[in-house]
Amino acid sequence: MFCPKCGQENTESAAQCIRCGEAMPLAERQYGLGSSVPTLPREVVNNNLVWAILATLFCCLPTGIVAIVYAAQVDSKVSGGDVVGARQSASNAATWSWISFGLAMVGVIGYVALLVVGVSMGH
Amino acid sequence: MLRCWSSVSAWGTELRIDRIASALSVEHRWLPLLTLVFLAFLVSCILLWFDPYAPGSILPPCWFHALTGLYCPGCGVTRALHALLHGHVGLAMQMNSLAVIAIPAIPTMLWNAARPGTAWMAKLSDARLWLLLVVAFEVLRNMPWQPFVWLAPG
Repeated sequence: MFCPKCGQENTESAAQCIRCGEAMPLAERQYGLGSSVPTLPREVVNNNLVWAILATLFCCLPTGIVAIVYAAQVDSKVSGGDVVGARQSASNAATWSWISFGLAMVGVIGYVALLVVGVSMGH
Repeated sequence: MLRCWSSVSAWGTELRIDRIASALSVEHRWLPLLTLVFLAFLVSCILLWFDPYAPGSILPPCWFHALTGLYCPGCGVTRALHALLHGHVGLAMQMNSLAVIAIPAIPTMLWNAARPGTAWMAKLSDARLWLLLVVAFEVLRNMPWQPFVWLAPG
């Protein structure tokens, strides 16, 4: 039996979700699996949105926005029921965030190195 | 005490993030939030030490703005964070209002991912909302007219 709130799988007799503490549906608890009202398991797919936003704000690169677009795809695919597609988009969102962080790191290190060289040339 | 010693020796042989997590007895799902707190602390230290307004500051300017003359969604973030750290919320809003909105939102989203919270938290974590917000912000802050000029830094 899946939690209606967070999607965590629980034992059939669970009164509360082991993950989020939400009360589990009564019908399933009292009458067991056979007579239960079918509840759709809602999969939780992390959209990696936080890293995409941080990449957009801190890296000054269009790749951050690409990551946000993939994160948005995760949420529309989850609401459309396409869990496999959502996982793929989530991994793309993470990849583009890391590409942004990597390029920004290279840029910042290069910039600081140039400053140091410039200062030492000036003296 | 014994447990503490065994984790210290484990650090010596294999310094991995999940080792640290188990040594601190923190569950995996809280790691992103902890990482973020650590990064925020690091950034705060850098910004309290260096002044983005000082000539020849090592805090890098936006290369996108330098190349195109347009503001990117991240333009003004350094100055906004600097202003926030010095208690000037109004100035921070002028520099990058999206960042000022994102700062309380990001830990909320990480919290929601670790432990599903209330319905509004789930709504806040919807990337479609943020895509709309970021694109609108990026377009509007480059408009040279009056109410939108306020969204541009500087």
